[in-house]
Amino acid sequence: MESDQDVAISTRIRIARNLKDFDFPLYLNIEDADKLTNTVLDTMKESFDDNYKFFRIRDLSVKERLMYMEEHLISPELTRQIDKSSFLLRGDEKATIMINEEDHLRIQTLLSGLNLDAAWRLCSEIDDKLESKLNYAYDSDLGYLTACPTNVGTGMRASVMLHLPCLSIINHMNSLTEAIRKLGLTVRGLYGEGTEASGNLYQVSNQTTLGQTEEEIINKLNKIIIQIVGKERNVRKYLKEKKGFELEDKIYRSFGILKHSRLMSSKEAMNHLSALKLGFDCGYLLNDSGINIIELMIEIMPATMQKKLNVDLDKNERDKIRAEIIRNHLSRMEV
Amino acid sequence: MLCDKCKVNTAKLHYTKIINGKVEELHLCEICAIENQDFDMDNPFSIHKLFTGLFENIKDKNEESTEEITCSNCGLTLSRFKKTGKLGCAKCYEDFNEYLQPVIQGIHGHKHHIGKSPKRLSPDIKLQKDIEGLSVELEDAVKKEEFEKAAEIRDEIKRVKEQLRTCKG
Repeated sequence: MESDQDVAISTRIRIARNLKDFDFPLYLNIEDADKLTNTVLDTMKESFDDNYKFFRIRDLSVKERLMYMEEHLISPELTRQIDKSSFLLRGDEKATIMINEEDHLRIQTLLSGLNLDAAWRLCSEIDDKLESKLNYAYDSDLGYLTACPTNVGTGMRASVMLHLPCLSIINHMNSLTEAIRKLGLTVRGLYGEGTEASGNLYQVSNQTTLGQTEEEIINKLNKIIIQIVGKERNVRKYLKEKKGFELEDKIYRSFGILKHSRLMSSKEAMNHLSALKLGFDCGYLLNDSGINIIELMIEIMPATMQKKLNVDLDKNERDKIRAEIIRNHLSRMEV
Repeated sequence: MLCDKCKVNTAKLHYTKIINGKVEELHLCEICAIENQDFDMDNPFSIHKLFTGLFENIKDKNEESTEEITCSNCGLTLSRFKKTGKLGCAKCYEDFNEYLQPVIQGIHGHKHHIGKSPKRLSPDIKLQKDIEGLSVELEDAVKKEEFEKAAEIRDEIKRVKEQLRTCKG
């Protein structure tokens, strides 16, 4: 695992774009939605050499849709208009082009660690290629026009996922959230708006999209993220020095539960995995079998788990299999 | 199955709410579902609610007249927009401009876009945007007391302005 991923897990940037000659997706009929989709696909064929895979939401099972959502490759909103929506996923899964989400196009890039500049460059490159053939809805005053005025202007939302277990332990998340809001940024849970922060994972992103350049938005976000990362690291150091025994106890308890449980809900698993990650990152536990905790967190999400095993499971069965998957991952780990 | 609310479109989203053993079902089309996000238990606190709340204070100037303001392209009415918070097409921005402007200013604290613009835009708009972008950079450089950089940006602005003059002919 790269060193900066102890706190900053991943970076995601998405931009909203619309085509001038079509109504926005919500009011688009299926026929026009298909026409728009084909226009985008034609452009892709002409302008892109990269390998993209195309999926229509209506051709995917509910489980498959949820799986892509749990992996953050598509947004929950995309699965709301089943008959109209589709997406293109780049081979390396670093970029998704969503078609007929809330806007005609949502271009998203997803990179690991804190990587805002690279994520924006990639996003902007894809945008340029699409724009060379498509007529965007753009106003010289308001910028890129979007279905919801909250996105107008750059249409950009940049967000970084952070693992903040120690700021949570010392109860600083509420005051941090408040401070961040005052700076025009926002803090959300793992799956965006309204979702709970499970596994001490938080997404910090820009709130507004008009009146600043993309670079200004990114620079500001970057500066604040670096500060939060620094704070989390300081608190880790402090707790290790002053409350080392308590911290170690918490981590080892979680390790014990993960290693031996027979039933595990996803909420419980997320919290203990968060403690395990902290144990690795703070040097209490040795990750010699190279477990990627974040990937494991996604692997044990309900839909991803069922899709991979290709079975339907009720809650109890899921909890049983989840515990089993985790035990298998930790089987080679000894204290 | 038709949407329980508008009774026109096909219901695509199906909700079941159970409170004290009482089952309540609701079948909605996509548009009505957005208006009805209260029912959506997955989304207890939505930015949508806050956002549409912003419109409640907008006084309809034509309140006395019964005529609805409607987008000349897609036919979306202003009252519908106030409920969904979603515009119908690019033209809505023009036709609802009077109502949207204060809302946009309220959300973003700004009125003008200064970021990226499509490369294929007519050249004078593109140049105008370049000047705006450079001016921000200039201000930034001055603030940071990077005067050498500021001088370079100033020359660049001069050059682009000259280009703009020739372009407008």
